[in-house]
Amino acid sequence: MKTYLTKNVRRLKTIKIVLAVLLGVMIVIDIVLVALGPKGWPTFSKVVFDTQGQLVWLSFLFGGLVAKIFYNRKVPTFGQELLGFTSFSIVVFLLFLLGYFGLFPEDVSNEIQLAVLLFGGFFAYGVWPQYLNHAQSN
Amino acid sequence: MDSLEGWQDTYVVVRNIMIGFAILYLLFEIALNLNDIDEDTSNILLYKASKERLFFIPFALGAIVGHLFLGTDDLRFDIGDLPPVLILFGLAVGTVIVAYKVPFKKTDLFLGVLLFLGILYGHLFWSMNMPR
Repeated sequence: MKTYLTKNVRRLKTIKIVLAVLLGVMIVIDIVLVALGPKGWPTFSKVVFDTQGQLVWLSFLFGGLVAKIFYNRKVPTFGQELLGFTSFSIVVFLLFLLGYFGLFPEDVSNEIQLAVLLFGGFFAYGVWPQYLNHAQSN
Repeated sequence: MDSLEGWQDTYVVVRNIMIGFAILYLLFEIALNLNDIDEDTSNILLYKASKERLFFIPFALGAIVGHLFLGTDDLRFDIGDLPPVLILFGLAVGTVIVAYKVPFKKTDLFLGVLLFLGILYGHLFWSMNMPR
C-alpha cells in the first residue's frame, strides 16, 4: 500500500512537471513570436483575435475546459464520461467546420463570444462528467 | 502581394503550432484518464492547486478568456499593451505570497468570484479591441 502511494505521488509529480513544461514552452514560443512581430509573425492571441470567425470552436472549447476545472461533476462509470467527451468533441468539430467554411462572420461580437463561452461551459457541465475510478483508489 | 502571402504563411504556421499543442494536450489528457491513478487529469490538478496556494489560477484563466474572446473598445479602460501583463504577473506573485503567509479556505464561491473578476479584468484592461 505504501509503495503504491509513493509511486502515485511520484507519478503525480511527473504529470505536474509535464503540464508545467507544456505551458512553459507555449509561453516561450509566444515571447519569441512577440520578438518576431516586426517580421510579420503574429502572437497566439493575435491569431485568435484576427481569425475569430474561424475559431468559434476554440471559444466553445475554452468555456468547456474552464467549466471542467471549477464546475465538474463526477461519475463512477467510464461510459458516461466517454459519451460526454464524444458529444463535446462532436460540437467542437461541427463549430470547426462551420468556421472553416466561413459560415461565421469575420468579426464575432462580444455578446456572441460570451454566449458561446457560456454554452461551452454549461454543455461541459451538463453532458461531460468526470469519471473517477474509486475502486482503484480505495 | 508577396508580403501579404508571407504574412498569411506565418499565420498558418502559428495556427498549426496551436493545433499541435491542442492535440498534444488532448493525447496527454486521454492517457491520464485511462491510467490507474485517480484525480490526475489537468482539470482536477488545477482545481486542487486553486484550492491551495495557487488561488490565482481562476483569475488568470478568466483574464485569458476576457483577453482572447472578449475585449472592450472603450478607451477609458486603455492602460497600454504591457501594463496589463505586468499587473497580472504582479498579482500572481502577490497572491502566492499571501497564500503562503496567510492560509485560508478557498470556497468554490470564492474561486467563482475570482474567475468572474478575471474575465472582467481581461475584458476591460487587457482588451485587443482598443481602437488605437
